[in-house]
Parts: sequence; structure tokens; C-alpha cells
Amino acid sequence: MANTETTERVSDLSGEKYKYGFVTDIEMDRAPKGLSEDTVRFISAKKTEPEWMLEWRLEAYQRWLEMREPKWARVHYPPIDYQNSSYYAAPKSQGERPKNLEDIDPKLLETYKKLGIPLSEQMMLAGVAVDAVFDSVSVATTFKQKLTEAGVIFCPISEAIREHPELVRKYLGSVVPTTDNFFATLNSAVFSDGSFVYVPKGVRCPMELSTYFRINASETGQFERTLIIADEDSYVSYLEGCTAPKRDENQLHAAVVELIALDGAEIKYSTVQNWYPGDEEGKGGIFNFVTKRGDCRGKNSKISWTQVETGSAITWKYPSCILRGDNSVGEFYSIAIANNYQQADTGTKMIHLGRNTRSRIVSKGISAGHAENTYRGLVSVHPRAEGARNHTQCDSLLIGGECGAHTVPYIESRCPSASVEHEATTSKISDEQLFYCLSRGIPQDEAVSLIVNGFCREVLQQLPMEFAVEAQKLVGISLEGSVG
Amino acid sequence: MTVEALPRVDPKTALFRKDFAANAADLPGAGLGWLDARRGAALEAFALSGMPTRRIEAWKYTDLAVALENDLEPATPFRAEDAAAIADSAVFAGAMQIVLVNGYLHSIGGAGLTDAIDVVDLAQLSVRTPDWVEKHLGARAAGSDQILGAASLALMRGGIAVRVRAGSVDLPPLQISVVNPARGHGVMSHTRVLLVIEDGASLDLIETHAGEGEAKGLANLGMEIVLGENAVLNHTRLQDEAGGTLHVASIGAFLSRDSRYHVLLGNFGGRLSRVDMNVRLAEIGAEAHIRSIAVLDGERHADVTTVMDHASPHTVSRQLFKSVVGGRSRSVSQGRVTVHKGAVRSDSHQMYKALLLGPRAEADAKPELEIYADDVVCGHGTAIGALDDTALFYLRARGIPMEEARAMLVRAFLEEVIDGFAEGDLRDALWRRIDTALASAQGGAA
Repeated sequence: MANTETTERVSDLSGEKYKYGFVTDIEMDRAPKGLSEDTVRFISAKKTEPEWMLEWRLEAYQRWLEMREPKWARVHYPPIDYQNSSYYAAPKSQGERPKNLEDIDPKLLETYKKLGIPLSEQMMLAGVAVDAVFDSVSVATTFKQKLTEAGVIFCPISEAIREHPELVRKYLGSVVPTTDNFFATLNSAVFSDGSFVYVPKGVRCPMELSTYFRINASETGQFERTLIIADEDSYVSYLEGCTAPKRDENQLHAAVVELIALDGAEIKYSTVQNWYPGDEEGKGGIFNFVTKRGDCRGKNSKISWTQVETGSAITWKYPSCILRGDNSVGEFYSIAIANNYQQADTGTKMIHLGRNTRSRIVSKGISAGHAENTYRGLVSVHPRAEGARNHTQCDSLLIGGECGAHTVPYIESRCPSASVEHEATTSKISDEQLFYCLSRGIPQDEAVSLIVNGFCREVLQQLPMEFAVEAQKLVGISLEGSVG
Repeated sequence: MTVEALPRVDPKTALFRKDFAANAADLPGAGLGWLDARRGAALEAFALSGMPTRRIEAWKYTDLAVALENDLEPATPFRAEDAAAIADSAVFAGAMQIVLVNGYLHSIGGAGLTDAIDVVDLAQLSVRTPDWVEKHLGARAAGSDQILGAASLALMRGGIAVRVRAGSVDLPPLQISVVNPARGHGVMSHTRVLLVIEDGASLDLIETHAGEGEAKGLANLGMEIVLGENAVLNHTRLQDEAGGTLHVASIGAFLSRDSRYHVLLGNFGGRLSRVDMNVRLAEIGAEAHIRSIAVLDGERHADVTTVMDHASPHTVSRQLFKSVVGGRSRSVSQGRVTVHKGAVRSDSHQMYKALLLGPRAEADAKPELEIYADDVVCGHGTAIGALDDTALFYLRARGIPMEEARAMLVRAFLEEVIDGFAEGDLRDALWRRIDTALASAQGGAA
């Protein structure tokens, strides 16, 4: 069925440690290196944006100039030279927009074949619509018609700015304001593209929405901006998966994702992040500084984040929920795997503002090699949030004596009728379990993969089918060679 | 060094720096090379960060700079009219008592000291000061990780050094009573206590803090604890300062091979209290247990922040914190457990629980794990909430009035901390203090 393709692709994956380490030569239409007001104007002009959007960007840029890079996360990296990077790159063939698949640059299609997601087959994959972002410009949007019939708007955000300005103006920056933090502000100034989803009242989105992000051009930062709005009583499930070609130069990625759930709406956002983590000596790899936040603005709304973070040299990511509406629900399920010299500082924030709001956090961190893995999370209950409930569980697994696993939870309660619970454990892979597997002829790597998959099961179960299969394999691949 | 980290001289930081600049030559032990060097380093550590504000991560929930008055004067030693305040500080049965007034050694009373114990008055440091004091004083609780501890060393006016000689066991309990009598205006005291328990010795320590008067002052204590091999210390702290006082205690403990440190932190009084406790499980087999009780009524702020360093293999730590928060009070529980590289078979657990009694109460918790070794068992848990309605209903259905039922459940909640730690007189004293605080905290909540 639909999953054969995924399974095949995954079996390809296990053959080598990082298959996605190739570079496609496509002529790029890129901004000159450096960041200035001109760069912002250049990007805005490239996107043929209206005046208000340019002003919005410029305001963010001015603000960014006054901000300092945050240093509180437990990650260490060489200083980033923001002037030594190009802020816009688009495949040249975008000049004339392709009418259908045949019109698309064959080299692009070739890249997707290497990735194992040829669009032609992808279209059939379990009714998943793909809005593929190749570097910064969306090249093809499939299943658009079916979505249009349901009234769902699913398009590149640059298109939404032109065609649905009333929606974009109303919601863009309303969850992550341009003043939010250093990386989000930078993104606001220079974001190149991303996805826009609007699900109208009472509509259950007829398919899973999915985007494959991919960093391709050398030394090009990716600044994605995603905005998802679920109107009253609607439902949408969004999948995001990432791979990137092998590079020696560190690449900067600063994305912003904003989710808005109105009364009774539900958004499920799943991510598999498998960007190039750097080689075994810690050279290269993606710097991933992401601001993801969901706003349960309406009563009885729900936002659920699921993430599998296996890639990137540096991960700085805290998908959060603002539980504003009464009875709203926030969930965060996370697996973060750090191997070799990877550093991950990730977690969530659950801000309880409304009555009877509920949140659940399940975080599984795995460290191996020389990696550092930190869970950092905030649960905050405001005095108004009567009857709020939170349960947090964060477990860390250590493989090898050179890695670090850290847990930094912040728990703040100002409401006596709220109940906040947190538990955390840290341990290593049990020798007994490993011995049990080995003595039954299961090779060491497979045994580790098996045990770790068991450790992560609660989170893997939350992933949509297509991702779950892939993610399980990914868990094994990411930890290859980490024991023994 | 970034620009932000450069010393900012705000009025509160200046308060301490001015005191040092004006009085450096008159501070006890001034001119002793070893002490001058340690004082200088401590002052530098303090000056570099300045008076703690919320911008410093370890002080995220407690803004000392805002709470501190900026017209405090150094506290003065015993005066005749202080006698009443001292008489109020009861002696536990059979205990040897050492009384400090505003940080100055005042008297030794109770059962008197046994030969196994040496006491040195830190206000009288000189070239004749014994080596063991020189070796340890200012080695702990005086660095940039305990900023106020550093200030307490730099500005030390008095205090005591206590040594329990090797192999001394079955001693009567030692009670250190710190009394801060009223001075009519806001004063600040900077006191040091050094406690050395030599190899194989064992001691029960009861440390009480009491004060009088309504003036807003600062009682700043730096305490160093050194446990030799196989040494045992059972330490009970009863903090019951006067209502206007800011009580800051920086405790640094060093645990040698197979030593045991058990401590119960009782926080009841003061406008704001901060216990900053660093425990270093330095050698194999060392074990530390920290228990904390805070019962807060009115408008109090009680912060217990611990750093537990598992620096050697086979070390054990346990932490159990319980707070009952009423009125407009706020309880803060922070703790970092660090398992250093190579400290395999470390075993650590933290549990923080808080009961909020009223709509204005707040509890914040930050239990942190920082782990650099793989063969470890570490965990922590936190729960913040209100009394269980079902349990209340159960009791009321059996004819127990609401107030009584609530008190019963709160006591049950706290019992776990006291059980198995304090006995006899001490246990009764703890419960008496808890009951008084509870009556007031619950009254305020209703």
C-alpha cells in the first residue's frame, strides 16, 4: 500500500549513515552576501510583496539590530557571522512558474528521487499533499484542488501574502511577534518562504498536509515561516520532514512556526528533523534555531506538537503552547537524539492562562558519543487558570561515558486549584537488556536500536503512520556505532 | 567578558563595597596574609556579579537587590538590653549552646562544651589562630557561585569556627543560636561559621535563627562544613527571623570518603529567606540528605537553592522539599544535581512538593539534572497543588470540622519530612513551630 514506498526508502536509508549528503548543481538566484536594509528590500521585491509586508520586515530588521544573540542555552558554537551568509536563494527555474510536474527542472526532480520522494509517487502517498520547499521557494503544490474543494488554503506563504492579505495581516506575528527573540526577529526580517494553511470553520482537513524542507545551496541560511490557522471546530494535521545535503560549512537555519487554534479547533504538528549533524569529529552540520509556538486562542481548542530531532549540529528549539482558551489542551511529545558532537537544547513551554486547561509533556532525550542533550521546559500556571492540569515526564538515556544529559525544568504555579506534576529520570541502557539481546544473536547496533525504540515508544506512537515507520529507522541509524 | 558582566555599581552593591572600603583595616584578621587574599578574592567575586537580581539565573525567582534596603548599617555586638532576646532562645535538653548576637560570639552555655570540641572566635583572629582554621576558613561558600557567601567572608565581623576532634562520638547535641536583637534601625550582619568534623567523629547540630524588631535588615551568613572520612553530621536549621529580616545563608559542605551529611532546613520566619546550599560529594561513598520544610504565612518569600555535586563514584544524594504556602507568600525550590565525569554509580533523587493554600500564593520549582557519566541513576519529581478534595470530604463526612480536617491533611503532608529525622525535644519544637505557622497561614487563606 501507500507505505511500501516509505519502507523501501527507509531500507535504503539504513544502508549508509547519511545518504542525503549530496549536492545538486542548480543555478541559484541568490542575494549577495550580507544583511542590510537592502537585503530585506531585495527579498521583499523578489517576492513581489505589498508595501505593508516590506514595512513589517524592515521594522523587524531595525529591532533585530538592537538585539543580542541569546547565550543561555547549553550549546556552544563558534560566533556566527551574519554578514557572511546569503539570505535568499531560489532555484533559477522559478522565473517562470511550472504549470505541472513536466515543467519542473529535471534536476530538481532528480534531487527528490535521491531523497526517495519523487513527486509523481509522492502524490499517491496516502493522500498526502506535498508543498515541497526546495531551498526557499515552493516548487510544486499538489492536491491543491482537493483542498480547495474543502475550502482549505494550503500554499506558500509568499503566495498567501499576495492572495490572502487579510488573513496574513491578521495572524502573522500574532503568536510570535517580531520582537520575540533574536532568531525570530531575524526570521521576520528575512524569511524567504514557508507554508500557509487556513482551515475554515467546521472543516476537517481531508488529508495530512506535509512539507519537505531542504537546505541545498551552500552557505545559504534558510528562514522558513509557517503560519497555520485552524478556524472554529476545524482539524488539521501537518507533517514536516527535513533533510539536508552534506556540508563542511556550518549552515544557519532560523525558522518560525505560528499555530492558531480558534474555538474547538485542533492542530497536530509533527516534525522529523534529520538535517546534516556534522561528521564524526563534529565538523560541519546545521545550526538550527527555531521558534515554534501555538496559541490555543479559542475555547476547547487543542494543539499537539510531536517532534523527532535526530539531525543538526546545534538544535535550539522549544515548541510551545499558550493555553489561552478555557478547556484548551496542549501536548508536546519529543524525541531528541544527539550523537557524536551534536548539541541539542530543546523542550517546551506550556503557559496556562485559561480555566481547566490541560497540558502533557513527554520528552525522551538520548545522548551518545560526545553529545550534549538538554531538556529545557517551562510550565507556568497563572492565577486565572483554575483547575489547570499538567503532567510532565522527561526521561534521558545515556550511551557511553563521554556524553551529557541535562534536564532543566521550570515549574511556576500561582493557582491553588491547579495541579502540576513533573517527573524525570536519567539512566543508561541496561546491561541486562543488552546482554539478553546479544545472547539471542541480535547484533549490537540492532539491539541498541531495539532498546532505544522501546524507550521512545510513547512518542513514536503519536506520529502519523508514514512518519512513524521512518522515524523508527532513523532512531537506529542515528545511533549507529555509538556502543562498543 | 561581555559588557553585561562588567561590574555595575548599583546602590545595593555599593552598600557592601563602601562598607569594605571604609572598614577593611578594622575587620577581624585584617593584615593576616592568608585571610586578606581570600577576602580580596571574595570581594572580587561579589563585585563582579553585584547584588543578585533576577538577571542572574540562580536568582531567577528571588530579587535580592530589590528587597534589600540601601541604608543599612553594620550590626553591633551585644548590649545589655539584648539580654531578654537571648533569654528567649531556648536551649534544647542537654545541648551545648553557643550564642551569637548579630553575628558576634556572645556566650557559651547550656551543658558547656566537652573536650572533644574546640571553638575559635572569628572576631579575634590573629597569628595565633590554629592551623585548622587557616586551612578551611573561606575555602567554601565564598565564590562566585554563592555571591552572598562571598560577601559574608569579605565583610565578616565575627562568627565561630568549631572543630570536633577525630573519633569523637556520642556527644551531646551542639546548639548554635544566632540572635538578632532590635537596633531600632536597619542593620546588616555578615557572619561566618566554620564547622570541621574530623575523621570518624559524629555530631548533632541544631542551628537556630531568631530576631526581634520590625526594622528591615539583612542577616547574611556564610557557613562552611567539612566532613572527614566516615564523619557524620546531623544538622537541623530553624530559621525564625523577625518579620522584616532578609535572611541569606550560603552553606558550603565538603564530604570526604564515606561521610554522611543529613540536614533539615526549616524556614518559617523572615520577610525573605534564601538558603544557598552547595554540597560536594568529593570522595567515594559520601552521602548527603537534604530535607526542607517551609510553612509560609502572610507575605513571605522562602527560597531554597541547592547544588549537589557528585564528584566521585558511588555517591548518594536525596532531597525532599515540602512547602505549605499561604497568604501572599511564595516558595521557591531550586536544585541542581551535577554528576561529574567518572562519578559512576552515582545515585540521586530530588522530590519537591508544594501545597498552595490560597489564591495569592505561589510556588516555583526548578529541579535540574546535569549529567556527564552514563552509569548513574538520577531522578526528580515535582508536584504543586492544593489539598485533595476527596480526602477532605472523607474526613468531613466523619464529622471532623473543616479547619481540623485541613490541618490534619497538611500535617500528614509534612510528616514525611520530619519522620525519621528529628526526635524528642527537637521534633516537638519543630511541630510547635509548624502548628503556629499553619494556624496563621490557614487563617490567612480563609
